[in-house]
Formats: sequence, C-alpha cells, structure tokens
Amino acid sequence: MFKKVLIANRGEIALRVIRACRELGVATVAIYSDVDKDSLHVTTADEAYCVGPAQVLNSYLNMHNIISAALISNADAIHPGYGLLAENISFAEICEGHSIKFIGPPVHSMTLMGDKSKARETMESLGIPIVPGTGNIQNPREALDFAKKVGFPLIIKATSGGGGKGMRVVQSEEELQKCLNTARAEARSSFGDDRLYVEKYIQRSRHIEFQILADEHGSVVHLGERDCSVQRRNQKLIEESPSGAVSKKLRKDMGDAAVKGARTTGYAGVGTVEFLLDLESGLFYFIEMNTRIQVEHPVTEMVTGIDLVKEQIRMACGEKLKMAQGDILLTGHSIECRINAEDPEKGFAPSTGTITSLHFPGGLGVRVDSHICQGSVVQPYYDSLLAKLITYGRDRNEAIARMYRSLEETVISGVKTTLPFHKKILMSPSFKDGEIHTSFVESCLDSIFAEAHGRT
Amino acid sequence: MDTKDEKIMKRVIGTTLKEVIEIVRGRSVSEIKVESGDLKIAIRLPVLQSAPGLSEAVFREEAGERQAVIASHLVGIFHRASTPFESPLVEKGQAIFQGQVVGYIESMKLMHEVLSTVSGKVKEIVAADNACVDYGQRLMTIDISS
Repeated sequence: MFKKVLIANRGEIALRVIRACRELGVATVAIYSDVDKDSLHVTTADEAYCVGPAQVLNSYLNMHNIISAALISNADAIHPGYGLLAENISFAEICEGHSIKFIGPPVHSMTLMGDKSKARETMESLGIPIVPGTGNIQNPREALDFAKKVGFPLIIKATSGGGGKGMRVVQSEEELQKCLNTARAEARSSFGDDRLYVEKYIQRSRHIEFQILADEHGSVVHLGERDCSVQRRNQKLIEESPSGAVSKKLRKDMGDAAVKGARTTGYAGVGTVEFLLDLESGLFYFIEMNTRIQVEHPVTEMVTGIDLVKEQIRMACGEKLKMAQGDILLTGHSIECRINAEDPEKGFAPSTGTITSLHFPGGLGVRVDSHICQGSVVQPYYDSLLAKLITYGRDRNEAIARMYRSLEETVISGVKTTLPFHKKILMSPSFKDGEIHTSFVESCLDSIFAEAHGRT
Repeated sequence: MDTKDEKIMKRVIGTTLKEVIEIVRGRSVSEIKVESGDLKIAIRLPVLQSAPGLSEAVFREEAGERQAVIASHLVGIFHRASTPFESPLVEKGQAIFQGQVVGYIESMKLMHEVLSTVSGKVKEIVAADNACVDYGQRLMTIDISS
C-alpha cells in the first residue's frame, strides 16, 4: 500500500479521496489555491501546499508546482480526482517520469479512450454496437452526406470532449454550419482540440453507464449500471442505480460489452463505459468511456457496498482484484442529486457568495458528499457543485421518498442553489413512474417553473 | 570534489574560483573548464531559470515604514545562495534594486531565480535557508520607505 498520496484536486472529491486514504492508513497531502486556504480538503489532509492563485490554470492545473509538492512531501502516488488533470496524458507521463504512481489507467488506455472517435472505432472492431456516426469530420460536406444517410437530427461531438462540452444537436440542414462553428469553438476552448465527429441523434434514449473495476493483471469486472438520463444541456443532474430500463438480460449483455471493451484496451483502475439505450428499438450503443472516477460513483457504492475509491487505490498499488463477476450483487436502489450553486430561475446562472447557514440531512439511507461548511466562500473560479445528496432504499420508491425528505431538510443559505429544482423533478409523475429519457428535463422545464412561480 | 582536489584548486586557482562563479552568475552557462598545466578542472553550474519572484504590492505602514513583500511563486526549496559554497546573496539591512536576484527556489531539480520587483532595503529575511516553501509564502520583507 502507498505510504503517502497527494490529491491533485479540490472540493468534494478531494475530501472523498482523503477519506478513503484515511481508511487505508495512507498519509494525505492536499494542494490548494490561495483562495481555498480554509477549504475542508486542506484542513483535513495531513499536509497541504499552496500551489498558486485562484485561477485554475495557475493552481490546480499547475503541473510544475503540483509535482514539486509531491516530491517535497515524498508522496509515492498522486490521485487526480475527476476533471482537472484526471485525464491529462502529459501529467500522467510526468508522474511516471518522477516515479510517482498516477492513480488512474495506463497512459495508452487514456490516450485511446480520450480520443472519442478512436474509441468508437475500437469498440466497433470488437463487435460492440456504436451509434451510427462519422469519423473526425474535415468539412461540413461530410456531416451533410452522413445526414442524407441517417436523417436529422444529428449530434455534433468533440473528439477530445468530456463533461457534455462541445456538443450540439442539429435539427436541420440550415442549422448545421452554425452548430459546427459553435461546437468547434467550444471544443477548442474547453479541450484545446477542435476536432469534431457526428452521430445520429437518438430522440428518446436513456444514458446508461457501466462502472468498471480492473486490476493491473488483466482481471476486469463491472459493478452494474447507473442511469444518468436526467440531464440538462448534457450535464447530469440526477443519477440512479439500478436502471428501471435495464432488464437482467440487458445488464448481462451491456455489462459483458463494457468488460470486453475495457479488457481489450488493457484497462486498469476504475472507469465508466457509457451507452445510449434507444427506447424505441431497445438497442444499446457505446458512446464513450471515461477513464477516471466519476462524480456519480456513490450510487454504485450504495447498491454494491463496494468502496470504489479504496478499490481504485488498491488496484493502483498492484493488488489483485479479489472479487469475481458473480460476487457482485446490486441490492436496493440509490439516487443522487447534484446540488449546484446555480439559480434555476435565471437560466441556471452560477451563484457565488458566502454560505451563511448550512444544514445537511441525515438518518438511515442518507449520504452527503460535500466540502462546504457554514462560512465557506463559493468562488467563481471553480465548478458550482456544492454537495451530492445520495439516498438508498430497499426499492426505488423508498429511495425517492428519502431523497425528497432530504431535499426538504437541507438548508443552504447565502447562495442560490438547485435544491428547489431537484424537488420539482423528484415529485413529477414522470420521474416517479420511471418514464425518463435524456430530453426529460428540457421537455418539462417549463411546467416545472410554471408550478414553482407563485409558491416558494 | 574530494579534499585532495580541493587543496590543489585552492593552491592553483585560489580565490579565482569565486570570481569565475561571479562572472557566470545569471548567464546561461552550464559548464566551465579550467586548465592550468596538468590541472584540468570542470565546473558544472546548476542551470538557472529566470522566473521573477512574486512581489506583492503590500504597502504597509508600520512604525512609519512602507514595506513590500517578496513571496514565492513556486513550490520548492528556498536557497539564499545558488551553491552551498557561496555566501547568501542578500543580508538583512542590505540595499537592493528592482530586478536583483535575491535568492533561489529549487524546484524539480532546477534552480529558479527570485528577482526583487522593488528597490529598497532588506528589512527581514523571513524564509530560512533550505526551507520548503509554497506559493505565496513570504520570503523577505523590503523596506521601501525611501
């Protein structure tokens, strides 16, 4: 086991990793920007180093200072969390060059899966279905030719994309050029790579992803699926496990496909294989693989009882996977709501300020993953996630009831939050009946707000 | 260098070694070869990276003094001189000018110069020699009253 791990991240995920390290008896090193000095991950870690000013580029992406902190503190490994440097191949290579273990997949897996277009080709060659689509497009003509074959609508995606950025749905030929331009610009600014590819846009679908766990000796298992269909602008809002749309047979087929894909690419550590389930045809398609721990990992932990971050650290140490596929059972139901510092009534505009009152819910089947305290300052420089509210129940109804009760009980004052919005979604008949799909939020956004006005 | 070589160096070159180091300081030279008769010496100098030290425009009035702070912009080890053989670049009470190299931060096996962005008198050297420093950590306080 590692003696000391440096966590190259901030916020709730940094705290999550510190907790896992504590349980494993591993010393922890935090890094922080000057405005995060009083942040919970800094005060909880055994040691902490300030690596730069508020701006992410000069602090949390400051590879030089982060590696320097690891060398000075004698850390033997770096956990990159999610986002930031988690899928940065250069950073993984620099760690390797300094004999610091990067707690993530091998560089060749990151490279392959990081190129969304190549990842699709690889999966297709393994016989895993992919959404009908193109390779990297060189000009609008290629997108147009593809549209002639499969019809509109299409979805434009960034080759180096992630987190829902650089995506545009194109309804018609008239919109195509404009959508390509904006997607390209967004891809360039978010990922430094403006390559795009195009897929057929499946109207009524569910976003189903499979959690993968693999050791460095070739053993791979999946820990079931998460349904992340409740999204807004390709950003996940609510996730749950298991999915009401996934039968036992489908779980086996999709799970086997996910494991096959991961195993063939020599994967190690934790990862997530994302699929789209076409509700009209009942067919599933591979969309992409994420080579990191994900925000929504807690729902899988609740239904399997497996600590994904501890397992990830164990796998990175070279330990052998102790569980076989048959040992993994999904019991009960879990839901997660991402509470962001955003104002749903103002187009989800980010809200900043100081948290003046704070109360988190508790009780049986309630888990809160958060880094905020009373007095915490919500900065404009970082993502708006304040807390993840996770509930567990013996069935979906119980998980929903616990979530609603938890949302009602939660108090976060000083900034605007998406708490009221989550309450509305939870209570909508479509959600309760499990009639959800990826356009669900957009389609009932109006009715959600119509109800909200006139009532607090 | 072992003690035998050091003795020869002292006899043949004497104080010239210091002069040699002074001449090459701040230039992008990494190796000097000195030959004198049968004596051949190669001096390898640490590669200097120029990276201006952060100087906060912290203008405090304290006992009638206006002060500025020179803070680290890197995570690393603070050195008051570039090698252990040399005396510190600056001492308390010393007058310094804007742009002067007042110390080094060793980070990822490279030495980075800390340049003062103010002119004044060194009031206090806050960071100890060979101490670990991180971003924003105060290295020295400079009296800029005059």
